[in-house]
Amino acid sequence: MGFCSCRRTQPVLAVIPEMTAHEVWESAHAGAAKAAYARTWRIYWNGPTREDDYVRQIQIVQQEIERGVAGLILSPDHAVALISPVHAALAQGIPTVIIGSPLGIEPGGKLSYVLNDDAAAGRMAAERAKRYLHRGDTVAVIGTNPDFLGSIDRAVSFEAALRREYPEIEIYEPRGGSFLSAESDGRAELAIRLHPRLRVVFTQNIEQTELIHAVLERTHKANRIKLIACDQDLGLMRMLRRGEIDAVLAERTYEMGARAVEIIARLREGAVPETKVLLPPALITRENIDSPAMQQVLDMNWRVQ
Amino acid sequence: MKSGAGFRLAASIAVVPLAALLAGIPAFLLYRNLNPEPTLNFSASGSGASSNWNAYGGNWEISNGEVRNDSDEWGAKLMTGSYRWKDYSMTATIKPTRPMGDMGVVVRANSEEEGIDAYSGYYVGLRFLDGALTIGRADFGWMEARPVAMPGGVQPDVWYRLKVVAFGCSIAASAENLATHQMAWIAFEEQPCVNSGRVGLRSLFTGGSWRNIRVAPAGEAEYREIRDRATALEAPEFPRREADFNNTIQFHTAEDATLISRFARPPSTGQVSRIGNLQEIPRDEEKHAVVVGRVILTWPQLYLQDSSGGILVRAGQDPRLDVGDVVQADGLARAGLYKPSMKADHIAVVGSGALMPALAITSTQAASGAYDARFVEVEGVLLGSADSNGLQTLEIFDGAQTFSAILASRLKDRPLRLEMRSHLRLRGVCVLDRSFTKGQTPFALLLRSGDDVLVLSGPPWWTPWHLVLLIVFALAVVLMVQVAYFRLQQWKARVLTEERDRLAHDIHDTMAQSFAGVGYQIEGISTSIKRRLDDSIVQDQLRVAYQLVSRCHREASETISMLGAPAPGIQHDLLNRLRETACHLTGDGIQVTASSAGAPFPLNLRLACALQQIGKEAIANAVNHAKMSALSITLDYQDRSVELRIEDNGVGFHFMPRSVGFGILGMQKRARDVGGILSISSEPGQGTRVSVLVRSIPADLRSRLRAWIRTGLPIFRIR
Repeated sequence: MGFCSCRRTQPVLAVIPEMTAHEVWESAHAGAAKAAYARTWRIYWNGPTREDDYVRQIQIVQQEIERGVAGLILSPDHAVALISPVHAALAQGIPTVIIGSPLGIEPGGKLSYVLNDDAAAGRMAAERAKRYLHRGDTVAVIGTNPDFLGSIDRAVSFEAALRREYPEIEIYEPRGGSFLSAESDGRAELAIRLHPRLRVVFTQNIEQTELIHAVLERTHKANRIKLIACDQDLGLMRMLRRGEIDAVLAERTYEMGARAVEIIARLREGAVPETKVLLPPALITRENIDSPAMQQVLDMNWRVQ
Repeated sequence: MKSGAGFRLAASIAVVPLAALLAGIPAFLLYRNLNPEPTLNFSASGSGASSNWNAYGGNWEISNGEVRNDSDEWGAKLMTGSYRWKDYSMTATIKPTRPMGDMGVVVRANSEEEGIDAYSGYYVGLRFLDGALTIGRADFGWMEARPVAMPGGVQPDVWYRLKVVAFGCSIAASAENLATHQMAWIAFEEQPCVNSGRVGLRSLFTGGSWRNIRVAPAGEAEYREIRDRATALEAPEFPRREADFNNTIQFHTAEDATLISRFARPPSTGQVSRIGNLQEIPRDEEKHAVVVGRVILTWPQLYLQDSSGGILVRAGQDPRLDVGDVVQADGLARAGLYKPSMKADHIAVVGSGALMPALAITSTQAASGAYDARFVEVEGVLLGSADSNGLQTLEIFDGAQTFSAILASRLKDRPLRLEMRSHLRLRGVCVLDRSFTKGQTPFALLLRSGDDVLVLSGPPWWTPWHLVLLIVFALAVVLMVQVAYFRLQQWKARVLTEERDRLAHDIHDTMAQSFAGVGYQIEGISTSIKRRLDDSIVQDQLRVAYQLVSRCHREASETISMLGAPAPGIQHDLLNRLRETACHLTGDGIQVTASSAGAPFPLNLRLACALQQIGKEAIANAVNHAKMSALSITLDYQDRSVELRIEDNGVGFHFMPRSVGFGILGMQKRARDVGGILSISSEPGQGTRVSVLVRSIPADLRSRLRAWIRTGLPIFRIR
């Protein structure tokens, strides 16, 4: 699917994820590739090597605008910094679909959103957490990051859903934690020690989930504290299968990729597609991970022939 | 004629591509000479090794034949070779530095970009996660074959020999642990495949070293040697879904499984301090502290950074850290002028995987000390470059501050080559130590590698050298214009002279002859009057004289007309004009015949005028000298030419080209002016034949273009 192997006569869609080589985005690659293949379109797939490297993501977006792609599918690494590059794409007449987490601008015209239903994700996580909570317990919400507006929606929804049933519950939510902050590890360990009644940790990205998982293993709290994670990843799924993670809220990124291609097709045809589509996440547990429905969500076969 | 025309048509069509080919061959040879294709016998171990590497991410160093990536960046690549390399083997000894990720080599790579799987080709590597030799297809995505377990697993700080043979659409690889000599083999096939491409080194989530890198042509025998030891022929089909991964990746033991977590190592006990808080340690005191930070520089000094600041760490021995590692350091810390420092007793890696993003600041902010020991990004213009003691120091100015950027790596094979006055964006660790600034600049940037320098724009065009070139060019243009002007003046003078000559010939051919006739008639009249001849004879002579005067008048009018607008219709009516002239000059006693042959077409005006003048001269000569009884005028329209023939049956003469008169010289010049050939043949008693053959020049540009395509004749006549 390399760009240079593309024939000029075929439209090329640039699909730029938050980062590559994570299953959550490889599934988007697979969905987009399959939908594009059906239309004999080509996919250019590349992204940053980190979820917070929005500078590199902007470079790739600008590069693809200059190449004159037929459409842009973007999962932004920053809700604000990517606004100008997207405007630049729209100014060039490039149909653009934002997948995953929204930008800080309203959709419309040639800009559409196919997003994870983060409010639903928060509610589903809360429902799962309720299984383990008792009066006086503490819940931690990790990874709320203003760069990803969806994480705020998830956290707000999660807390609201919990408080409806447990108004007195303590919710610990450290703000400003980046994906890769060097001191996150120490802060997480400190938080676990400072909250002896911590029962559930809700982590909102893969890096923070791995970090909390490591801290729980190290402090031998894995059996007592349940970890509910967001975003699918092969490593996390393995932890889920071993019982070290209670549940993973998987984004339906395969469907996001496919729907995004369909929307671009409609925009290119001059039709007016939906400007905003919300896809509810899938709650994956040890019990259902091998079901065909869940494995479909985890499909990452981008080599459609 | 047809076949000749066809040949000329084909030849004229072939001229353009042939000329382009002839011009292209030396250009191609020059290009190849300037950009030699790497030969498929490549070694990076010797002192004369190729060093034409291109980095895509990572923090690469090349020293003494060893290539090292000091970063844990995912999918960092270092590429070299030719996109035309097809069947070859690649060998390298490799050593991962971390118990995580994977590292190996890339073969048949195309379309490389920065990104984890951003290339089209094949990767063969050793992976720590499942302790396996793995091979797969990258095409801006990743799909691998079923991995083969490496006996003893994949261990950090152990050298492995990796050999890959790519032959046709088959790839086979072997790996050997050079400490235990345990081996693994894998064979792989893809149809269709990438059948040529470059080679490269690649690591993911770990740093590492590569040595003894060799590429050589390979055939089926080399492929078979490894293929026959592999248990199966694999294909890129894994993992399609998560369950594939789960069913395929096999951990050796439960203990190994825990190692996959990059955060698994327990940090040392003790309260972790934020780096920025260490500046609160009283001056001249040391305090034991524990800090956790990300490695932002390893050489020539070790720097860590967290969200509160950066710190210089001095370790007792080389801790072999990679940029991007998250480490916990314990030791005695002390505050500095702008940053703390630590003499570390113990350094442990507690995490890894990504580089610290640079903070974009101005040079004035950097000079303030607020960003000392931090990883920053600054822009500026390159003013100078110097090498000493293995350090390459760039002098940078950004309009406010002059500072140094120091490439403190062991990149002896790959020095930075930058054009002075280029606008650069530099990333590095900001330091205010006098050991680096030498007291000359407020701060210095310690660069991790040449990849930390991005050329935003080249030097401005108005450098002194460019100005000199521009002035020389302008002078050359002025000189050329002056030369052209003088040439134009010369050409103009020559044209005027030629035009005067032509007018002289015209006047001689027309009015001078007629005036001579008038004089002759007047003399005759005078003689008749003296002899008192019959009035009727005198009247006849007067009538002839009158006719000659009328002719003079008409010819003067025609000459004046020739000087101004051309006589209308001559292009279409040349034959009739000549016939009228002949009838008028000869009277009734001579039989004049005029005929044309071929398909008539409109003649170019200049051509028609020339033919008319030549014809009139020939007719006048015949009337005056030939004593003929018949005169024939023929205009023969041929395919690409026109021939005018004037023939009489008079007395003829001995034609001697070397002693011709003014009239014949005039005819020759007129013929030459229109690219024609004048022929005169005569013998005493045989009459005279004058012919002029000229190439036909179509009347308009479109017709001339069409004629050029058809005949290959020039569009514009060349004298």
